[in-house]
Amino acid sequence: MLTPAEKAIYEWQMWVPGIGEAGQQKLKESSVLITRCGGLGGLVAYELAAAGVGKLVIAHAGNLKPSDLHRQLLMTSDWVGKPRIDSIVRRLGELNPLIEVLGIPENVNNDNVADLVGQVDVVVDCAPLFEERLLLNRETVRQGKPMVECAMYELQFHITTFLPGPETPCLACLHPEEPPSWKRQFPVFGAVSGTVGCMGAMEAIKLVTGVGEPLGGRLLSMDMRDFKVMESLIHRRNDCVVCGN
Amino acid sequence: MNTAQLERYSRHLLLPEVGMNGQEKLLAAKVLIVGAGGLGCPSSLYLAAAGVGRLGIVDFDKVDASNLQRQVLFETGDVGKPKVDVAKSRINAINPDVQVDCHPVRLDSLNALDLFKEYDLVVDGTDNFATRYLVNDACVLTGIPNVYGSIFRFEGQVTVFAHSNGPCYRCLFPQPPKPGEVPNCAEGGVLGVLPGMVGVAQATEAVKLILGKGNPLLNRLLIYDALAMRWKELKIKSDPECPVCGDNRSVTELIDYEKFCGAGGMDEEEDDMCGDEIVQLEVSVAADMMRSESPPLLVDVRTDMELQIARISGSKQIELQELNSRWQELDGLQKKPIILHCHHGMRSHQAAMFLQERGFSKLYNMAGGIDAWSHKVDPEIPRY
Repeated sequence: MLTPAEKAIYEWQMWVPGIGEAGQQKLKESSVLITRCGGLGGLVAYELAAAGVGKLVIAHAGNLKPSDLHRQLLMTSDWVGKPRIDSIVRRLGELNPLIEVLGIPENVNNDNVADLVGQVDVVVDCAPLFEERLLLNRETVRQGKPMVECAMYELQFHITTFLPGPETPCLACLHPEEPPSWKRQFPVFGAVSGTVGCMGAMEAIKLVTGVGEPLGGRLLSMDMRDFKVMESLIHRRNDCVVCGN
Repeated sequence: MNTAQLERYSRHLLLPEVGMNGQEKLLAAKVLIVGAGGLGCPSSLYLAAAGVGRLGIVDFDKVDASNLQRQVLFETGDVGKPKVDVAKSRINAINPDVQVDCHPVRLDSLNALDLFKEYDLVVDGTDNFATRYLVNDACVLTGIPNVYGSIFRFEGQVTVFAHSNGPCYRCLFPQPPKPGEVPNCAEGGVLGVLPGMVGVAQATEAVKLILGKGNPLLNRLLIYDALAMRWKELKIKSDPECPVCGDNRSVTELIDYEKFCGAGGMDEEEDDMCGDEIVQLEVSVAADMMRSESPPLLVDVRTDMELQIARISGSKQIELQELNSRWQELDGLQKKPIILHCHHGMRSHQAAMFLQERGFSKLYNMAGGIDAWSHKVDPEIPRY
C-alpha cells in the first residue's frame, strides 16, 4: 500500500494513463540494478529514485576525479578523491529517503555478477568496459531478466532492451566480443549521457509497470547533432554464443 | 455431334465464330477451374452450359452457409457437403455432355504441375495469394494460359496471363502483399453479384481462347467497379526481369508459396531476416552473406579520403553527403538486399534511413563498420 506521503510525492506520475496507484505500487515493489553509475547510470539512478523504484542496487568502484564532474551528476565537487559510491548513495538519499539504495563499491565482475543480478527485477547496463557488459548480458540471459542497454559517444547514443525469452536477441547476438572501436575514454557531453540515461530509466519504468512497449530488440540510435532518431532491429542468432541453441 | 447436341448448341452453331467446328473444339476442350468459390461457380456453370467437354474442379472445401450469397453452384441444402461433389452433380444436371473431374485436394507445389498438364487452360478462382502465385507459376511452367480473375468488395479484375508471350501474374505483382495487408472476402466482405460479373468474364475469355476467336484479354487488365458500374482497361506488359517468365529466370520450379507469401515475399533464405526495417548485422554475419552465392550489394558511404585509406573490395561507394543526388544509381534494387557500411556504423545507418524512405526494403547496417570488418574479417584492411 502506498502511504499518504508517497501518494503526495508521486501524484503527478500516477496521473499517467496506465500507472495510477497500481503502477506506483509496482514501482515500489521493484528492484533495479544499475552498473555503473556515472554520466549515464547516474541519471538512470536519479530518475528511478525520483520515480520511487523501491530498491536500487548500484555497483560503482573508484574515487571521484575532477574529469567525472562534467557528466556524473550524482557527484559533488567537494568529494574529489573520495569513493564515488558514497556520493551516489548520499545524493539519492537526499532526493528520495523513502527508497532503499544499496551501494556497492565494486564494478561488475565474475565474482559478484550472479549475486547482483539475482537481487533485482531489471538491469540497466551503463558500463564503460565492454567486458562488464558481456558479463551482465550472460548473467541476465542465464537468470532470464530484462536488461536495458545504453551507450554513448560524442553526440551519439544508442539504446535498446534485451528481453528474456527463446525468440529474443541478446547483446552477444550483435556483439559477441568487444567492438574494436569501443573506447574506455571517449569524447562526450554530459547532456548526451544524461539523455540516454533518462531514456534508460524510462525503459526500466516501462518494464516494471507494463506501460508502453519496451524496445525489445529494436535499437534506437541518435546523433544529437541533428536529433534524428534512427531505428533498426537486432536479430536473435541461433549460433549466438550466449543465447543460441 | 448427335441430334440432342445439335439442338442444345444450335445458338452456338449459328454463330460464324463458333459453328460446328468451334463447338467440336469446345466439346474437346479441357479446362481446370481452381477454386469452386465466387469466381469458379459462375465460370464453371457457363463453361458447362457452353459444352466444354471436360471440366476439372479443384477445391478441398465443404459448402458453408456464408458461401451461398455468391457461390451459385450451391443450394441451401448443400451446406456441409464437399464442394466438388455438389459441383459435379449440378454441372451434369445442366449438361450431361460434360465430364467433371473432381479434385478434392488442396492445390500445392507437389500436385499442381501434374494436375495442370491434364488441361488446356486454367481458370484461376483462388481466394488467397499463395495459391494465386502457385497457379501462375504452374501455368507458366506448363505453358498453359491462366484466365485470371480476382475480386475485392466492389471491384474485380480479369485478364489472361501466361499466353502468347504476354505477362504473367508476377510481372504485375512481383511481391505478394504482407500477410494481413489485404483482407480476404471473409475479412473485407464482397458484393455477391461481383464475382458473377468477373467469373462470367473469365468464362468468356476461356471460350474465346478455346475457339481461337476474337481478341483475348492479352496485355490488358480489365478492372470492374460495381459501385460506379464501370469497366476500366489497363495496359500491362511482360517484365523482362520477371523471375518466372523473364529473361533470367530464378523460379524454374514450384516453390513454397505459403512461405513466399507469409514472409512478405522473401525469395532468398537470408532475406528472412529483413522485413521493412533496417537490420543491424554483426560483421561476421555480413561476411557470410557476402560469401554466399547471391551476395547482397555492399554500399560504402564513407568519403573518398577514407576510401583511399581502406576499402572492402567489391563495394560500391556513394558518400553519405552525395546520397541525395546519387541514390538513383541503386534504382531497381529496392527489393534486393543491400548492406551499408561506413567507418563505425553511424553514417551507414543514416544512409539506410534515407534509402528506407525511398522504398528500399531490405537494408542491413554493418555494425561497427569497416573498422569491425578489418578487426574480425580481414586484418589486411588498415584501421584508421
